Amino acid sequence: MAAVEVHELRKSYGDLVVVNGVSFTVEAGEVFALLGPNGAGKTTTVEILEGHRRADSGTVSVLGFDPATHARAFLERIGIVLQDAGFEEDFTVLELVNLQRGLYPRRVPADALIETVGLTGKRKARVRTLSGGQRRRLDLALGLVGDPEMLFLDEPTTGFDPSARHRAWGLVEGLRDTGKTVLLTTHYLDEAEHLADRVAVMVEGRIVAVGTPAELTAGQRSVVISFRLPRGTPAAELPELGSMPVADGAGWTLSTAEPAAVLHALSGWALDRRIEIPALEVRRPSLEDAYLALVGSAAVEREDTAVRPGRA
Amino acid sequence: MGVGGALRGSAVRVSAASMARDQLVHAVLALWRTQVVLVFTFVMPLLWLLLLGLLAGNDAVGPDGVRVMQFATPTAIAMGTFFATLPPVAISVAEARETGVLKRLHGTPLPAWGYLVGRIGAALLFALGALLVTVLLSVLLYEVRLRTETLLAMAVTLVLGTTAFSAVGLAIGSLSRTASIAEAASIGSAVVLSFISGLFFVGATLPAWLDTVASVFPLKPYADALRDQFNPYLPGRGWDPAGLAVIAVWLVAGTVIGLGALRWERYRSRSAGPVQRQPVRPTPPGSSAPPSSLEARRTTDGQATRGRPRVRRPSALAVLAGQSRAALRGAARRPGDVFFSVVMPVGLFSLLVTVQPGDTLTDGRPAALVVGASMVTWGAGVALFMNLPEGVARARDTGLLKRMRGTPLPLPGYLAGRTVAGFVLTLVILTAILLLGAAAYGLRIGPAGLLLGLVVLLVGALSLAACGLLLTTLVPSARAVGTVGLAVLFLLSFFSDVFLIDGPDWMATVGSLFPLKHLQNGLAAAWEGAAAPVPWLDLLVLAVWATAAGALAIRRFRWQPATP
Repeated sequence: MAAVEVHELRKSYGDLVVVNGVSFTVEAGEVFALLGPNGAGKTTTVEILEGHRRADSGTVSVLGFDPATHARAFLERIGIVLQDAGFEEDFTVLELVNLQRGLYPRRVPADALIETVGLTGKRKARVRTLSGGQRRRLDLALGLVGDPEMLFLDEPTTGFDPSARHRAWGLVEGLRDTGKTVLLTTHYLDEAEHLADRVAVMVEGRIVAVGTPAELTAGQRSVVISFRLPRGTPAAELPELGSMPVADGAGWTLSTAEPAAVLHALSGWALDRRIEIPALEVRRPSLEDAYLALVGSAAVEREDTAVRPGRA
Repeated sequence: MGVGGALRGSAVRVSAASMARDQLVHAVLALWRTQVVLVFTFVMPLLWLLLLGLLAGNDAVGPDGVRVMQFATPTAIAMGTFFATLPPVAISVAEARETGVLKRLHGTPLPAWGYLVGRIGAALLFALGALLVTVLLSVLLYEVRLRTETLLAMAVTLVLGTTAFSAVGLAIGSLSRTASIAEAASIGSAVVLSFISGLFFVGATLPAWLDTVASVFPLKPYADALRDQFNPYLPGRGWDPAGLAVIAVWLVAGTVIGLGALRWERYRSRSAGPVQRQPVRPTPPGSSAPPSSLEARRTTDGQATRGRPRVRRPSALAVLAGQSRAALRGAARRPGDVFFSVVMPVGLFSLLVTVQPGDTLTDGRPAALVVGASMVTWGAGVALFMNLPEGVARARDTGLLKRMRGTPLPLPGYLAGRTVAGFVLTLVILTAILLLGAAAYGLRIGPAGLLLGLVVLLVGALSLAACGLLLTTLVPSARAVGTVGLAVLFLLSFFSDVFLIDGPDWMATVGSLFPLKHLQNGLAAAWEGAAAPVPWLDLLVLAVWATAAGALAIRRFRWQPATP
């Protein structure tokens, strides 16, 4: 049975359509990532699945429940890690974990949980003394304390240092191994690529692509070529390469469906001028490239009216 | 990192009783860790009781050994139990919603009643604590007697009253958009109700119309019933059905409104939905600018740095003006600050002048003039000795000061801005009180008196601000600064002619060591004009405090919170 089934979900705030006909399915035991730019409707979608909000129309089923009924049996089986849920600052990590622990019929041992999220050194520390990353880890602990079958993670590693991030990833992988279903939203594409069995890309209230990270990148037929130019050689002198190079940090990047032709033109041009092309790289598109292509093509229709940054 | 076995949950049954108990214990701890609540619940009524004992003495009033404090104790009980329930419930509910704690709870199996049982139960336990401490103190210290024949009626009154206050608190907390509005609305209405219900006066009579107004609210019937139940000369068992009915109506109304308006998500500004941010769009590859603009783009970037803005350091005056404006705007956005520093002193002025028996005091000075000076002093104290240091400490706690230290803003510029903002607020109070006094109470002050009064107020404001800043350097957290500031101000006011009390001489002597009394006396003397000499001594004392406290505060100033 699918853990989450969403069909034609819609939600507006006043005139603003935030979720515009979203459908997807998350299988039990799957780690599913919802990707998309700010304001794409990810958080609203997830909050409807958590029972925090009611949809305007469409059907939603989570673990067989309609979240909108906010049934206690439903809440006992899910765990939520929110971006903007607060803590009582005057309480210690252990106190808050224990308090929340008492609310669930299935309970994870508090000390083991605190150890797992890496807060053992802070178990007696008041929340007000925790750093941003430590708060997020406490958030994660509170989401897990009821041993949920289904875990919602809203940008779970925002603000983590690299080692805490890898710890959190290991934790989510461990959850998958125990058969839990995880729905996460994230801005980090490497996170989605690393953790998610399947990824949905959401733009402006719609899902524009769903699939495994490999499927999404395979959909990209093009190849990415990046290079730098030697000092004193302006990009305007580049030959016709079939598609437009885009400034990318200190160098240039272009994506093409005909890499052989582009490389030929580029290297021929360099040999003619007796220059070298530093940092030349040819690679298959990453999930990031696929994502940018998806988000970009969805946004491109508004591009003409928007003021482009850097050209003021 | 292995999760598997270690994090497998064990199954238990969650009983409603264990849930309620956990929430109650938690809420009691939460209140205990909020020192402000302790001040209002325990310190204030006890202080009031002790001061009253000090001032009124505790002589026997009858041949049967009944003492004066027999009549003051029920008022202290009413005050303590009232302040233990209404404001804490309102503030904790609004705060939990604002910080997202309610949102977190909404995603757990905890039902709403579980949360409310915890919060309201904790407030009721604190009220019980306040009751026990007050009764114990008055019995041991003042030989106050409990009347067995009214004990049942008293218990019913106490339970019904505190539950009703909690319900009203819940309603205020649910309706207030932010925690600071809830704080202002609950403490503000609690203070106002206490005044019009006669809790702060002993013996004085309020105008009849005010009595009528107060009788509509639950506090007056509550306090009156307790007073009657303590009064040994009254017959009967102390039942007041009409009063209990009024309280019960408030209980029902508070519960209905409170539960109806309770929401788990924070209120958003303007739009009903979540905050909509402009989506950040990455530049789509391939759809970029035409080839000729590749170079152009780089040169445009270069030009942006070449076309330098003109370099001019802002003048000290511009810095001060900017800082003052920012501080004023900040104050205006904290409704609690505005209420306590502006609305409350003006309201108190009106009330206190009204309850004076005549137009002049016993020493022949006009009542409106002396009360006006007192209330301007109180307002200045709140704005500069309580709100100012609390704001600076909050900026320190939240890292704002640290951020500021990385900018070219000099410390004096920041502090001066805060002080100017506080002074502007005091000018608002001054203007309001003078206008109200002139219009309603025949207050007449000559131009020379007004001018001299301004000078006194300016020096006084500087001394209060300096003392306030010194307080910031002595007390670790913003919350504690606010609490200590309020307690010191409240206590000192009794010694400084701010709350008009004819105390023993030693109190006046103690008061004359501190700036508050000199601000009040100096203002009153200035306004009297030719009838009184120029208050040089008051000005001198204020100036000495301003210099000494200011120098010490600057020396001890810390940019960061004390390390935990």
